[in-house]
Amino acid sequence: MRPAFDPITLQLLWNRLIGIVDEAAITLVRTSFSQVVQECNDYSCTLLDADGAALADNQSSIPAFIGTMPRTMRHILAAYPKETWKPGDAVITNDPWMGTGHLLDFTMVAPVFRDDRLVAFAGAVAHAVDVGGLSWASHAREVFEEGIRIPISRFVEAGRPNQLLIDILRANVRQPDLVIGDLMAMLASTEIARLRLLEFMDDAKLEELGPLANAIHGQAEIAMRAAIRAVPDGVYRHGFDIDGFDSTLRVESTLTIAGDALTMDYAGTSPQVARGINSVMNYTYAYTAYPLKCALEPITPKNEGSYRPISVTAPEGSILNPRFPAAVSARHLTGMYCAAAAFGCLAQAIPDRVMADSSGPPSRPVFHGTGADGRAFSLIMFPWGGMGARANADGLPCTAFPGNDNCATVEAMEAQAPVRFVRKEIIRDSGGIGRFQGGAGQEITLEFVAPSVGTLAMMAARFRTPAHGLLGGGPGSLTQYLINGVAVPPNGREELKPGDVITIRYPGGGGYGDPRTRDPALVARDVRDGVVSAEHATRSYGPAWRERSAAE
Amino acid sequence: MSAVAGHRLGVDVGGTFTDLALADPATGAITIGKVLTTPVDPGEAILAGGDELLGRDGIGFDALARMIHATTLVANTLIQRVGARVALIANEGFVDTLDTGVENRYDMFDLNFQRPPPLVPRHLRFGISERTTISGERLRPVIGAEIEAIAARLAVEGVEAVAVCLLHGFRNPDAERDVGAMLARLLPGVPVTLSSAVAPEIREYARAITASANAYVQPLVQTYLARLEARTRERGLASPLFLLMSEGGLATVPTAAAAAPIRLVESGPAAGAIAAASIAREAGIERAMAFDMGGTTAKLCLIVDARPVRTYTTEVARLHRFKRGSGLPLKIPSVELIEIGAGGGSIAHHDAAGMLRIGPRSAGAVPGPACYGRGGVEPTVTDADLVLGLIDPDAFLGGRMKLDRRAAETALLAGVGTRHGLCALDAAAAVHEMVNDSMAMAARIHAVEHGEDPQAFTLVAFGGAGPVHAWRIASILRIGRVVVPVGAGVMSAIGLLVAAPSIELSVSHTGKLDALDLAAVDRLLAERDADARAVLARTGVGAEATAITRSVECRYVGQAYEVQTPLPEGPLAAAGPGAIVAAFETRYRELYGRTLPGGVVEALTWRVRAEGPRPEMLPRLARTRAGTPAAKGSRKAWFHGHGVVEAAVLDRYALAPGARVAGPALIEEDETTTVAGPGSTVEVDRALNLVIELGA
Repeated sequence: MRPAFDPITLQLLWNRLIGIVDEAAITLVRTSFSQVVQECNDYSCTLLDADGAALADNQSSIPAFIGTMPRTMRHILAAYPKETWKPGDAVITNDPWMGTGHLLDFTMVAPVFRDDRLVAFAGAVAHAVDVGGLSWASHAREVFEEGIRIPISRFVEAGRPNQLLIDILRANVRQPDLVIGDLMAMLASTEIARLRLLEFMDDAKLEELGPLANAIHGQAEIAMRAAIRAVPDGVYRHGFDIDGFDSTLRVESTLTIAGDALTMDYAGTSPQVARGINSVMNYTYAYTAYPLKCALEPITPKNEGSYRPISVTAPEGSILNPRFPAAVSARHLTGMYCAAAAFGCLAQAIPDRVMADSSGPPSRPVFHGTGADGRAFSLIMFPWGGMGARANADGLPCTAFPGNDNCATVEAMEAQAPVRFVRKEIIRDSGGIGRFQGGAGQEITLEFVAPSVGTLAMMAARFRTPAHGLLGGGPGSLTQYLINGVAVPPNGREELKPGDVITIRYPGGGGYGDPRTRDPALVARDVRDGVVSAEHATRSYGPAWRERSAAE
Repeated sequence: MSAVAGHRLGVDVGGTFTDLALADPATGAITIGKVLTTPVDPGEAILAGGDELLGRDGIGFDALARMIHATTLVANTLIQRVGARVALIANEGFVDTLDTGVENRYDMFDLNFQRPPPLVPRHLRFGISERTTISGERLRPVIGAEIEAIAARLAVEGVEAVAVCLLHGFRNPDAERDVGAMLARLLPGVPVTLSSAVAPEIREYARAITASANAYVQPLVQTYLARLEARTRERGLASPLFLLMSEGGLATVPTAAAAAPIRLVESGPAAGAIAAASIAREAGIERAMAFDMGGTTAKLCLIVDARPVRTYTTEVARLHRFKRGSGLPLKIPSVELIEIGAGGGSIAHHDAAGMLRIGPRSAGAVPGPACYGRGGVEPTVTDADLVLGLIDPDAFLGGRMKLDRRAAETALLAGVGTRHGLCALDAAAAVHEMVNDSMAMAARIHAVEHGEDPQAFTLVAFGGAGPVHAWRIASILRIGRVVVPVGAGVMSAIGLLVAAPSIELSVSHTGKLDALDLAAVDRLLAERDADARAVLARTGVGAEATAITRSVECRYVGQAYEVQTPLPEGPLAAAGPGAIVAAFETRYRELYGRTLPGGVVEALTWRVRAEGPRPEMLPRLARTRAGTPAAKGSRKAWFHGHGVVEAAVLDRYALAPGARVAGPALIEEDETTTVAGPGSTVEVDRALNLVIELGA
């Protein structure tokens, strides 16, 4: 059968679809009131076909949401089948199991009608300013403590806002204007996507999107299947300890590569815990599929087809597939380990295309209190430790992986909240040793300078178990929280007095390959730059670097 | 203004060519010169080209009322990493911002990505115990002994320039000034850049990079400019040598150096935008997209109300040309030019996923596109345009260079056609469409980011390849009108002739508007106002001819994006915060269509812009050949949606104002061909611009 589109036309139309979601994303970012959306990039926009299969994501979207969106869409279509949608509808949910894994993100979907036919859906996911309850913290015991949960509901019906839903939401969150404002920004982004898609269909003379969707999905799927086929068939296992909340937990992973498809299974992983670090299946799936795509086929724009050859399973009731009503707010503390699982398995088959463990999941300290002006403040910090070393390059210091949010500058954070930074600096000798070295972690020390007491809620990982190295590479340094020089449990909540000094050490990334084969010139450079101490260099890499140093 | 009454010479030094434009005040005519750039000593080509061009009018440098220069020296120094050995002095514990940035990845799927290497290696970054707080309070002073120890180290290391970036230096620059004064005493002759002087704005990451980049380029630029000015003096130049700054204004050599040489980084590209703005003003176009497509790159600048849109964050020296975030962010005022795609020499190839990509690799001038017949075998955009019949193999560069159509076809078949089962023509159409489509999309996104609707714009196309591609890009964007100015190949040099002296100064003073001491802000703005006027006065602009505009970056508390808000005239303390909030909300609504009910507005950075008068007349290129027939015949050419049709071929130089041509038409001049597709009409306006109306 002759394909419906020649390859060039297909590529042109595909690029246009990506342009449409990029434009929707700009609308969302620039009208959002959430700092987490704007500074930290915690959102995504997606265009889906009439069956709910993802066609295109915006290019600066984040790994979690592009993975969860299509799965959320399936739940939405189950609640509201295709034939029930009307022009001007929009549906939202923040249910962790159907959405992104915690209450803090809203997913919104609106239909696109061409004349009176449903041709597509426009979707958006964004981190809310607040959802009531404990919001972002790891110490809840059930999801009920974490905030308000909105089941899949009509936010707008045939153009009319659902006032009851809006009123209920407003009554349950701390900053109702901003929360509703952000939902309106999401609605505006779906509207832009709708308008642009209709223009696009006119231009391209397309009556329906079905054949184009099939072609785009087909090409992405073919690319991914070809990439999987190039990996030797086999069953690859990787198990490791993770920090958990009160006690160490275990992730067990089994990657089965058979021909052009792969399955990741987490059988053997620890049971769910009564703290907010459980990662629901949607999130587990997203952070398993994402690193696999990075390693196997990073180039083709991601869509439903890219992930079709990838299936992910985890035992029900485990930390990677918890049952309701598990607490899940800080699910990244567990779910982001899936990247380490994926690379640990793949390393046995294609070691030159993966990285050693990165420092993520990252600690996310949240400061609350009242400033000198009497106004309440909150500050969430988004720093990162070191990235894992690659097969042919060092890991980068203080770099996001597998997440991709941004850390604000010191001056911006001091402008936002009464804190005074004492240090924000790379930690010497913190990157795992190896032929290529893990990225350095960093130490952040700051003084709490509010006029009255406040609180610090800590979300942390890698304080017991480091980022491991690969193929002979060593581990990175560990996470530490100290208050006034005294170590505190890194997952709790502390009261802060004016003048308290808080230190957070972000971990180093794992190293890659045999450290004895590291280029002495790189060691000499690191010693000269103070990233590595002379003693550590000689101990880890031997004395050869000294000659290089002397030669310069 | 008497300073612009005599001859004016504009010189734009590009990578390959040095373009010169000379305006004669008596006739309003411009003559153009083009010589090969002399990379080792760019001054050589400038002087040789100047001598030749001035000689044509029988005058010398002594007859010039103004000489204006645009240079790519600063950008190239950063791209090629050939600047000075620089040290950075920061607060102890905060020297790593150059490495870590905002800690994100600019490419989501590439595990092998790298950050641009920092301009200052870590061992040349020094921390001092000084600390200034967010409110500007000096918590700990600068300790002389620390600076002495560092200075000794810098001398041993052979450091050639120093950057100083201390926390909250934007709020209180005293600590940086203390360090600067000590270094001046301890290391005489070593230039010191203070972040509070080059980029007095909140966020230490971009400020540290800006200060480091300035220090990095300063020695080279100062030597070059001093030498060039001396050599033009020797030739009798009596006027100051003017430079075009990134922001689109002119500065003299001493004021440019005072304002920081890094502010010259977009000097060359800004000139084209200035020219396009001037054309838009004259043609009464409210919203224009200046589209400049040359040999290796295509750039775009939005022009609103005849002014190029400005930005205060610009990114240079990207590791990956098309990837935002892969370069060095600079906090300087600049005409906002974005790279939207490839140029004529860019190579069509397939990525690892089998997708057809155009550029960023370019065939350059050597070997050049396959059709140049200089050994290039990979298909380029120019090869595609030739095979489509859009450019004439015998009329390229006015017929001075014959193009080889067969070589272009062979390259297109080998590189694109065979893979997809396409003939050479279809392969050419694929390349042409791919490059147009991606440029149109980038242009659309850019407009939308500015809260603008692309359909409301007129496309002003120039550069060697711009007029070839503009018609199709406009139709993709649903833009109704394209203007192709006269002299489309030398717009930057022409832009230099119509730029005005200007300077922009800023100061960060942050806080919620309802809580800010506006009298204090008034004092800060008055200082900047006086400084700006003084700078302009040194370029010969009198106080009465200086126009001042003031603005402030505001945002709702909690938001991350600032909105450039025009300030009311007169003291702000008298106007009150309400007036500023109202101006902010007006602008906010223009950009985003709504405001935030109950939102608290905060101010960050305050700006004062002083501008001198523009030269009054728009110079004209005297290149018409009145009386010769315009029609050159016809040839077959490919147009999107129409396939191959017979198109009229015309000689642009023979088209007089008022002439009308119906598309499909190909209007040829030495440096480019204007493509007007079927259904469009072309009219020559009184300034000799080609105005294409696309039709329905």
